[in-house]
Amino acid sequence: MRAYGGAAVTTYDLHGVVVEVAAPPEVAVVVDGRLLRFRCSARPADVTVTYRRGRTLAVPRGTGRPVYDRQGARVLWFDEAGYDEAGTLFLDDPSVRAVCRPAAGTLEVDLLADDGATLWLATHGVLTLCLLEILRHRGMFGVHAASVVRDGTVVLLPGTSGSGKTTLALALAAAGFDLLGDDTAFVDASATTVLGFPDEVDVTAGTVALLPGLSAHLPVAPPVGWPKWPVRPELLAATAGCLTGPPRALVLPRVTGRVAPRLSRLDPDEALLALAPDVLLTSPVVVAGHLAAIAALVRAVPSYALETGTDLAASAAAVLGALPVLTGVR
Amino acid sequence: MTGEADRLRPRDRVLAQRAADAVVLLDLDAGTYFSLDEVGARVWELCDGTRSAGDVVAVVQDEYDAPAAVVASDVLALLDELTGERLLVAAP
Repeated sequence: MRAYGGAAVTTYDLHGVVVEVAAPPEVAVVVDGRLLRFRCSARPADVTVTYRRGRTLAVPRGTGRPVYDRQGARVLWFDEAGYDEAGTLFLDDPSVRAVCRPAAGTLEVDLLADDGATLWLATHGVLTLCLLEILRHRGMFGVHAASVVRDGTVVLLPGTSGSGKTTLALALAAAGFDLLGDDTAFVDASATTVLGFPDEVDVTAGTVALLPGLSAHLPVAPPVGWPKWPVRPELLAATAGCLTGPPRALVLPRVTGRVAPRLSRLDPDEALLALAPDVLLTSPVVVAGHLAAIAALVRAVPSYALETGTDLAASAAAVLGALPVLTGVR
Repeated sequence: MTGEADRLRPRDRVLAQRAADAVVLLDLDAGTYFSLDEVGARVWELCDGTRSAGDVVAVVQDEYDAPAAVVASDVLALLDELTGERLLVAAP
């Protein structure tokens, strides 16, 4: 990490996309905690992310249309006339303002307050949303999913917040899978490769209640203003050494009050409908590419709905039993 | 009501994506999704602005083993629904 003019500068290689992050040191360390596995030596950047304290960013010109609902925050997309892909993603919250130009590969973030909640928003929600937009302009299409690896192939666990995907991923890790990520993964345009995003695992009290062994790795409480405990996955489970692999199956978890799990097969169109809301509706060309990648994914591998029960070992066994047999695996 | 001579095409800001036999439509402006089954997907595919509604009915009658009157009624009802949702619009 290099520091100059008060900013720390760190470079990351996200599956061939070089991202340079310049931020006040207290912000840089949080971002680094998320992107740790991608750290690389300083090199020319494809993407720059700049954090500043105070208001430096203006509202983009033109009329923006809302593309994301977030409590208290406006997230708007400003199309650039005459250009199918260029545009600006603008996030305006009382404590954070962000301007992202995904085609150009730039994200600028103003921190307008100095508290834990602001730091969390700026380094988690804002960074994730904008980084996903930048990366899908570069052929990496995001899926809101945890991911685990077995026999060199990737099982994706798509789901919204609260669906139980982190808990299921940790249960699968306890059953012998390697943890690749707990919230986001990427697929390429043909969906033949999953590109992992081994972020910190955001642990909730609910997860701890179901997996009491986690508490040994957690401080007493999350940082002030943070809703969850961020924990490096390496502390929780065996993690995948390789960050890429072909997809093998999609398992969509849903938390129920059951004890025993129930697994059922999903048709490709049902799976596509479940995953499509992940697609942020910004540039039509990019949205079409994203949808096409997700469609390719659901056509390529089987999809299942899993009503998870409180017996997590049984849930893991149900997933393992449903996986298609690999040919050529010794 | 869709007339048999009407020619329809997808509205510009509607994306379509096939998943196996079904098609998922995304209205970029409304942010809403629709799913069409196998027959609906075929109707969508045929509405490319070059065929009349009557032509679309004829193709589907030819390709599917169902009473002609039932196919005609179902296809025209689907076209009404798709135009009502502004997923299909009149072709020039």
